[in-house]
Amino acid sequence: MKHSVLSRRIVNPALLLAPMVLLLAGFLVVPVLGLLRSSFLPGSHLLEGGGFSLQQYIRFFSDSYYSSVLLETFIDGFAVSLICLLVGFPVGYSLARLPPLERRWRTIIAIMPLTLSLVVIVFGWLIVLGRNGVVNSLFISLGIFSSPKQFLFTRPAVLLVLVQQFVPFMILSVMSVVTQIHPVLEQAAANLRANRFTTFRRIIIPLAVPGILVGFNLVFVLSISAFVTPRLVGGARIAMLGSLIYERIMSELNWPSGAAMAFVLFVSGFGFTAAINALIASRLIAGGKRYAV
Amino acid sequence: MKRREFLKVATVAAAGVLAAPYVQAQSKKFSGITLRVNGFGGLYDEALRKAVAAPLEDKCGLRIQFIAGATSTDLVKLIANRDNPPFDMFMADSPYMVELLKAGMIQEVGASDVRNVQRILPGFREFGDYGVPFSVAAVVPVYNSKYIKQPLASYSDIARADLAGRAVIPAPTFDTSSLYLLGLAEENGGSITDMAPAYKVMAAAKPNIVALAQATVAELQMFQNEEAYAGFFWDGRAHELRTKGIPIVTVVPPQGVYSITTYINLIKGMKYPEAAHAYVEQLLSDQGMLALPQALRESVTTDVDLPEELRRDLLFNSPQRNALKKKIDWQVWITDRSARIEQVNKIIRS
Repeated sequence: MKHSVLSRRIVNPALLLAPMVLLLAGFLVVPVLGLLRSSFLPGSHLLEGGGFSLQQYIRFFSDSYYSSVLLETFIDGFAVSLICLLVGFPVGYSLARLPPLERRWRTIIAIMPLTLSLVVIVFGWLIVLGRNGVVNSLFISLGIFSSPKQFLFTRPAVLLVLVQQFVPFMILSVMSVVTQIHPVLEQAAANLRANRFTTFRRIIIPLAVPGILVGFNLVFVLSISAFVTPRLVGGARIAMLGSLIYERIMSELNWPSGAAMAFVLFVSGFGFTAAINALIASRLIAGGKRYAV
Repeated sequence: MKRREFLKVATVAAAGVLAAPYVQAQSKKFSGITLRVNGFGGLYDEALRKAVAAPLEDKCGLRIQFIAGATSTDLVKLIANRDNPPFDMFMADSPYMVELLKAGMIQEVGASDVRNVQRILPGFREFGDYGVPFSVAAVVPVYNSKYIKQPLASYSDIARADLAGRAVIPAPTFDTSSLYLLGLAEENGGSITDMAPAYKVMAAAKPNIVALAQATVAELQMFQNEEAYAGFFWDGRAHELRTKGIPIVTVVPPQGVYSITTYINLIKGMKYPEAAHAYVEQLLSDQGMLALPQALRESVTTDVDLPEELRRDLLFNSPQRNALKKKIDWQVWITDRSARIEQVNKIIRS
C-alpha cells in the first residue's frame, strides 16, 4: 500500500509536467534552436544555403555601432527596472498589507494596463505627449512653458511609456512576496525599538528580495526586448536592439544577422540578470552571516 | 387576321423570343466571369470599383473582386501558389514588379491586346511590355507654410539649419518611400550606385530630423499634430493634409522627382485573358484613369485630359512636369536596401 502511494507520487509530477514540457520543447526550444542555427549561416538570406560561419557575430562585435546600441539597450532596461522598482514597491507593499477584499479590487486596478493592447497604450501616449497634447497644454496654461516643447521622440518619453507598461509586473512580484512576510515581524522590530525606516531596511527589504529580483528580472527582460514602444514613441531615433532585430528580419529579411543579434541579446541579457541575482544573493548571505554572528 | 398574315407575325415574334437571350449574351460578353484582383483597401479600391469595375459589369457583365491585403503578403501568396494562383490580376508598385518578373508570374500586355495602351505617356512604362501603369505617386519635400517661411526648393534642403528639430522623414525600411535618398544622392553628384552624397546630407540633416516615420499614417499624424513642419512625403497624402486645413506645400524639385508607378498585371495562365484585357482597357479609359486622381490625387499615366481642379493638385500634370520624372533602376535599388537601412540607422540613431 505504502509502496503504491509512493510510486504514484513519483509518477504523477512527471505526468503533470509532461504537457508543459512538450509544449515548451515543441514551440520554444525547437524554434529557438532553429534561430540559433540560422545565426551561424553565412550571407544575408535564410534560403541562400547551408554552411557554418561566425560572420554574423563578427560583424556585430566588430562594428562599434551595434555595441553601443547593445549598451544603450541595457542602460535603458536597467533604468526602466529601477524606476519600476521605486514606483512599484510602495504600491506592491501597500496592496499586500490590505485586507483580501480591498486588495483584490485594487490589484485589478493596478494590473489594468496589462489588459489593454500595447498599440492602444502607445497611441494614447502619443496624444498625451504631443505638442498639442495634455502635458504641453497643462504646462502652458500654468505658465511654465511659453510654447509647446518636444516630449515625443525623446529617450525620457520612451522610458516613461516602458515604465507605465511594465510596472504592474513589479507590483505583482513585490506583492506576492510581501504577503508572505508576517506583520508580526514588523511588530517585533518595533518592540525592539527599531524605527519604521530600520524595520523597512533590515526586515522588509531582505525578506522581499526574492520578489524584487523576480520583478526586476521580468521588467528588465521585457524592456531590453521592447521594439514597438521605441519605434513609435521614440520615432525610431532611439536605438534599442529589439527595434534593430525587428527591422533586420522583417524589413531586410536578413534572418541570419537578425538571429545573431537576437542571440547576443539573449545571452547578454541572461548573463546580466544572472550576475545581478548572484550579486544580491551573495550580499544577502553575507548579511545573514553577519547578523548570525 | 388572315391565316397567312398570322403565320408571318407569329414567325417574327418567335424569332424575336428565341434571339433575345443570344442578343443579351452578346451585349453581356463576360457574364458569369469574375476576376480576382489584389486590393490595396480603403479609398483606393473604392475608386477603382466605381470607375472601372462597376461600368464594366454594366457593359459586359464582368465582375471584379478586389481582395484587400498587403502587397508583400499577396505577392508571397501568389508566388507560393503558382499552380493555383489566388489572383487573376495583380496590382503592384514598381519595386514589386521586379519580384513578379523574377518569379515569371506575369504576361506581356501590348497595344494589340489593349488599345488604350497606346495612350500611356512616354517613360511611364518601366518594364517593357510587362505591367500596365495606371497611377503614379511621388515622394517629395513638403513643408508647413505656417511655420516655414523660406520655401524649400529641393530634397537637399532637408539639411537647412532653420529646420532644426522640425523634420520627419519616412523610415528607410521601405523601397518606395525611401526614394528621397536617391534624390539626395543625385542632387549632390551621386547616383543609385554611389549613395555617399546622400548619407552626407543625412548626417548634416540629423539635428533636424525628429523622427523616422514607420508608416504613412504615422507621418500624416505628425504633420497634422504639428510635431513636424517639414520633411519628405507622398504628394497625394500632402494634398490630403491640405484638405484637412493644414497648409502643407508640396515642393517640385527642379532637378527631378522620384516616384513609384502602380501597375496592373495579368497572371500567366489565367483563364480569361480577354476579360482581363477589357478591365485594363477600362482602367486606361478617361473614366478609369481619373478615378485615382479624383479620390487620392495620384497622378495619371495616360494622355487623359485633366479637369482644371485636378490639374492644379496633381504633381505630374503637364509635359514639363512629366519630364521631371526620374528613371530608376529598381533592381539595383532593391538589391541595396539593406545597406541603405543600415547606413541611415547609423547616421540617425548613433
